[in-house]
Amino acid sequence: MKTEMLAMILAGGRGTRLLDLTNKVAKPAVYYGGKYRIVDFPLSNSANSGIDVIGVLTQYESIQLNAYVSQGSRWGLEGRGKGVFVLPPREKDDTAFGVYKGTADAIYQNLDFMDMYNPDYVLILSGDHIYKMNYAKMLAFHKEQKADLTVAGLEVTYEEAKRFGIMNTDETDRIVEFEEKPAHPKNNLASMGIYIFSYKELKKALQLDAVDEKSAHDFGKNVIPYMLNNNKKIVAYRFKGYWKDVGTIDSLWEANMDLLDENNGLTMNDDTWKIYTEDVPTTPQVIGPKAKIKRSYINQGCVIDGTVENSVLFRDVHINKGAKVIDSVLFPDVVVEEGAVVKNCIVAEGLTVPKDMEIGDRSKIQLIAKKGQVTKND
Amino acid sequence: MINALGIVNFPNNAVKIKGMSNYRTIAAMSFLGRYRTIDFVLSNMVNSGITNIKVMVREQPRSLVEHLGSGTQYNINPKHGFIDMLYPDHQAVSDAYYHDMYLMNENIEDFKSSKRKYVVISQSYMICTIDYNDVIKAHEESGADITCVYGETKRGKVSFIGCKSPKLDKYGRIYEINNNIGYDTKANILTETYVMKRELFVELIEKSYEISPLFNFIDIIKHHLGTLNVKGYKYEGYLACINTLEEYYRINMEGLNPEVFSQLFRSDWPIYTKTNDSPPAFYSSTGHAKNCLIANGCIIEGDLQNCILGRGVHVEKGSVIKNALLLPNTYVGPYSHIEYAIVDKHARVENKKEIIGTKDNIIYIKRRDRV
Repeated sequence: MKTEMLAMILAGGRGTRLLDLTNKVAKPAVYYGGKYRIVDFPLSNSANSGIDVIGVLTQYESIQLNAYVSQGSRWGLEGRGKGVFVLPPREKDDTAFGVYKGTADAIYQNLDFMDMYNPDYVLILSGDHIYKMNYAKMLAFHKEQKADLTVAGLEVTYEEAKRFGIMNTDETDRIVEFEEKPAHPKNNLASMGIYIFSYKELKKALQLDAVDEKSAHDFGKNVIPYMLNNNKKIVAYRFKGYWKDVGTIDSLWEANMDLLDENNGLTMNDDTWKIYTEDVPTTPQVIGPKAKIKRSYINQGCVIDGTVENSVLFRDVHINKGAKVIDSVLFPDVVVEEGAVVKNCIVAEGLTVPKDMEIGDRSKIQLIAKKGQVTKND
Repeated sequence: MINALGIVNFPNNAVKIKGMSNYRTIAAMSFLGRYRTIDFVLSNMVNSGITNIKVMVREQPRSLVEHLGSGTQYNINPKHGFIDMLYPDHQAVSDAYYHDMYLMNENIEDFKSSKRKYVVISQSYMICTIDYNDVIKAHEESGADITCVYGETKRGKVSFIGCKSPKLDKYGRIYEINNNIGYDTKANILTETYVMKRELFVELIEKSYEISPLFNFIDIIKHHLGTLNVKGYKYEGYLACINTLEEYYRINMEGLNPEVFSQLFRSDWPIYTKTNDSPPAFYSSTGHAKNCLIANGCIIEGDLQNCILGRGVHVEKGSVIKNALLLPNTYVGPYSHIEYAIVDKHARVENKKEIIGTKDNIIYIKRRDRV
C-alpha cells in the first residue's frame, strides 16, 4: 500500500483546564459549536484535503473518543484504502507496554503503522484546534520549498505571542529559531501545531529522540530544535483565517461566541468545506409562540419557547416558557425549566435547570457540569 | 427481525401536487423542513424491524435516488438489508397500462425470490407512525388472507379526497371499497398499507393480467373481496394524505400544532432522514422567529411567524414572512414580504418584494425561479 501523505492526529491530552468537562472525555471529544466535537475540525479538514488515512493517537480517557472517531464514515473516510485508525498505546513485541511519554513518542511508537502505508509525507495535527485549512495547499508549499519540515504559523499580537511557540524566521520564512512561550518575543508568528514532515526525516529524528534519555519526547521542545541544530530545512507556512486553541473554559466559551459574529472567518455555512460530525436523528427545531431569539446558534431537535440571546444551543435543548438563556453554551439534552435564568454559563450534557432557578453571574464564565450545581436546596 | 419484505408503493390515480410534481415524485417531496415524505414510511418499516425494502418508482426518480442512497441513513446496513428501487424494464404501451400492478408484474422475480414470509406494502404519501408488528400480529390472529390498515378521519369532506374508503362488517371483514368523494365528515380511509403472505402476493400479481391489464393494485384487492378473507386493521394515530397542493401546505402547517408534532415524533420512534451536514441555524441580532419549525443550515436575519423552513434557507434583514413554507435552500432578499406561500427549492425572492396569498389561495413559487 502506498499513500502520499497520511495524517496523525494527537488526541491524547487530558485538557485539565477544561475542568469537569474532561473528567470522562478526552479534550478532542469535547463539544463545540452547537453540533460538533472539536476533533471534527482536523478530521473534516483532512477529509476535505483529500487525505485518506488518518491515525488518531488517543490515551487519556479514550473510550468515548475511540468510539467516536472509529466511525470514519461520518467524515467520508470509509472505503478501500481509506480509514480513521484509532491508535492507543499497546504492548509491543520488543518492548513492554508503555504509555505515550510525549507527542513525539506517541508518533514514534506508531512508526510501524505509518510504515504500512509507506508515505512520502506525514501531517501531524492536534486534536483540539478549531479552524478550517486545506492541507493539500500546505503540502504543495512544502514540496515547492523542498523542505524537511513545514510548520503552519499564524500572526498574533506580540502580547499573545508570549503564550505560543514562536517561530523566528529569516526573510524567506525559513525558521532559524523556535522559542516556546518567550517572555520577550522577537517575532509574532505562532506555531499552530500543524506539521508536515518528509517521512524519512521524521523517522530519523524520532528514532534518535527515542534513545535520548534526557528528551521530553516533545515536538516543540525536542524534535524541532534537534532538526534545527542539524541544519534541516524548516519553513513556516503562513495561515490566514480563524484558528482557536480551546484549552480553557473561557476559551471554549469564547470560541462558541465567535460563531455569533457574522464575520468570524470560520464560514460554517460554506458548502465547499463542510465540517462533518455524528448524525443523530432529531426533529427540526421547534420555535414556540412565546420564543424570543436573538443572535444565537441553535441546533436541530431544540424546543424553544423562552428567551435565548447570544447563545449556542446543542441538539435537543429545551428552553421552556419564561426561561431565559443569555451569553451561554448549552450542551445536548439540557432543559431549562419555566422561569429559570442561565447567564454566562457552559452547561454540560443532560442537565436540567429547575424552575425559577438562576445560575451564572456577570463576572466570569461558569461551568455547570454537576447535578449538585443545579439542585435546589430546599 | 420481522419476517417481512417491505414494499413502498406509489400513489395510484396519478396524484399530482400542482407545480411541485413537475420536479419530483411525492415520495421525495420536502416535508416539515428537514424530511422527505418517504422518510415516514421508511422509518416505520425500519423501526418495526423491516430492513429488506423495495421502493417502487413510477417516474422522476432523480430526487428519490439522491435521497435514498444505500439506506445507511435509515440504519440499514447494506450487508444485511437493502433499500432497492423498482422500476420497469419495459415501457408500458400507454399510461392506462402504467400503474402499480404493471410495475409489480415487471419485478415479480424480486418478490418470488425473497425469503420473507410476509409482505408489508405501504405508501409514502400517507403520513403516519405505525408499528407493522402490530398489524402482522393482528393478521396472524384473525386468520385473514389480506389485512388492510385504515384510519378514521373527521375531515372526510375536505381531506383524503379520492382516497379509498372501506366498508367493514361486524367481524371486521371488508366487503366494499369506494372512493372518498367528500360526502361525509367522518370517514374510514385506507392507509394503503397491506399485509399478506408473500406467496399470496405473488399469486395476485400472476393472476392480475387475466383479470384486467388495466387494474391497479387496489382494483385487484377489490376484485378479490368476495373470494379472499380481507380484514381491516384500525390505526388510531395521526393520519394525513398529501394528495393536493392545498393539503401539502395544510399538513405541513399542521406540524406546528404541538399535539400533531408529538404524535409524529415519538422518542421511541425516530424518523430518519439523510443528513446534509449543515451547521446549526443561525439567528442574527435582527432575526426573530415565532411558532416555526426550522432546519439546520438556515440563516435568519428577518422576521418569521408560523413558518416552516427547510435546510439552508436564508432570510435577509427586514423581511417579514408569515404562514409560509420555505423549501430547502431558498433565499429571501432584504425587505421582502411573504404570506401564505410555498417557495420551492433554490428559488430566490429578490426583486418582487411582495408575495401575498391568502388562506384559501396559497401562492406557489417554482423551483429555481428568481422572482
